[in-house]
Amino acid sequence: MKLNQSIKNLRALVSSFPMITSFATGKRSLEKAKTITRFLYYFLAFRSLSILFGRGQYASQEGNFSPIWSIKWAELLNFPDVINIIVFFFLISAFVGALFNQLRVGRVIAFLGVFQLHAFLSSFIQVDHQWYPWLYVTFLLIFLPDAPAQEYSFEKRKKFLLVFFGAQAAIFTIYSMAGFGKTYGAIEQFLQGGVHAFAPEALALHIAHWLVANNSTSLVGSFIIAHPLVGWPFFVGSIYLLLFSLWAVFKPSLHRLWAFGLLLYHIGVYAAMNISFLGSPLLLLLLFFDSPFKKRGVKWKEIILDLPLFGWLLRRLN
Amino acid sequence: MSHNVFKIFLVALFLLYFLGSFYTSGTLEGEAYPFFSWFVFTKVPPKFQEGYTIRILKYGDKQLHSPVSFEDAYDVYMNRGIASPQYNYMIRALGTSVENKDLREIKRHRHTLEATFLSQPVVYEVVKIKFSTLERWRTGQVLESKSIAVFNVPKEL
Repeated sequence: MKLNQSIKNLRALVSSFPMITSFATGKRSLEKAKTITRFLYYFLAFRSLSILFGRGQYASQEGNFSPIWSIKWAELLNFPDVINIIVFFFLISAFVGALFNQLRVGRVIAFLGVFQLHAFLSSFIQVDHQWYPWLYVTFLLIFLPDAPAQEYSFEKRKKFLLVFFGAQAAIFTIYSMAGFGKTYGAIEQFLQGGVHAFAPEALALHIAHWLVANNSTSLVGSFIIAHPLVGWPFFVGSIYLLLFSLWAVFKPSLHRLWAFGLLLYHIGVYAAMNISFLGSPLLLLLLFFDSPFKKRGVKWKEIILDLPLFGWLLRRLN
Repeated sequence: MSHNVFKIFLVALFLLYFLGSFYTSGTLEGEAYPFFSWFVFTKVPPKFQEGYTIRILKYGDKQLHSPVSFEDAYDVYMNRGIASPQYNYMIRALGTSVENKDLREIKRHRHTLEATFLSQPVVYEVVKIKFSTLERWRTGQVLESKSIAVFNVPKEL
């Protein structure tokens, strides 16, 4: 009896979470999700041109090329041939995705192009982290339902929106994992009695270490090192932003605000540490700035009450 | 696949990713493609720390008057197509394997690093250093340095 009840409860939880059904009832959310998806593939096609135009940069890297498991076939060929195969396959696959993303076969081909390009870029000393978000998103989008000519049925609308939500969740999961790592590290260092991420000098130490290790300078690094208290709230705030990203994905009222915050985080990291990360910013803009799940006319009160920690506290006080 | 079954499939996929990423974060490389934990900058560098660097002692047939540190050597002797973070990763890996006396890893990391010197031959040393994080940024000075290995790279690798 208890097991049956548990299974019933689990089924009810799975059915209600997330609440895709209400969004699938109308057409607005679906049309938005479809448009964003198309533009994702258009961007991939654009990106394939920059990879093509920049293919000369790889020629000098042959000495460091050690193919990872997903590109082992490259060991059988000359390095210049490998470059050409990767670049042109990505070009063709990206344009197939741009033209035929409404078909699963088109999306599979686009994913394979990203997969092989990423494998190639990850075969030089270290794994390339920039392309991971696109790898995960193009993989998940393979599961979108096909309905090339006819209208989507209610079930297909639900499936489309669920897959789209999965892509959103994949991006915010990455950030949450980064936030979790920083939080866990902070607790560990605190318990060990050393300096930790919530200490005022934390950001200054990070910046100094990184700039020396990379023989570089940054826009505001010197200033923050000289005035660590200025950087302190931004650093603590960034950990909050990262850690609770996965919470925010389930709160459509927070989508745009959170994505904007994460974009500011990337700008801040560049300004302070001269680190650029272009892997996810476009995905943040496309997937979240006009989220298909955002209700019309959301009030600021709802946004604030949806905030993790602060919103929870306010709800209790109310 | 029905809607609810696909939801379970998605959750299972995410769980697999979490578990795979956390597990592989503990490996030597810190990740295993396509799993990555995104645990970057998780530990604040201590105010005083240890690390590794390399110094060039001889380049071509020329004995250098004073050893050239990696930061200065990067501009002159090394492949600038490879970014500094990658060099630091190589040097850290080499230094660690020297201290661990892991001959296989020493050979592997030496091969990776030495392939990036612009031309041969090179004599370089791996140096363990102790420094104040902020002071090193301000002045470039270290508190202590100790050579832990010297490697001679012949004309042809």
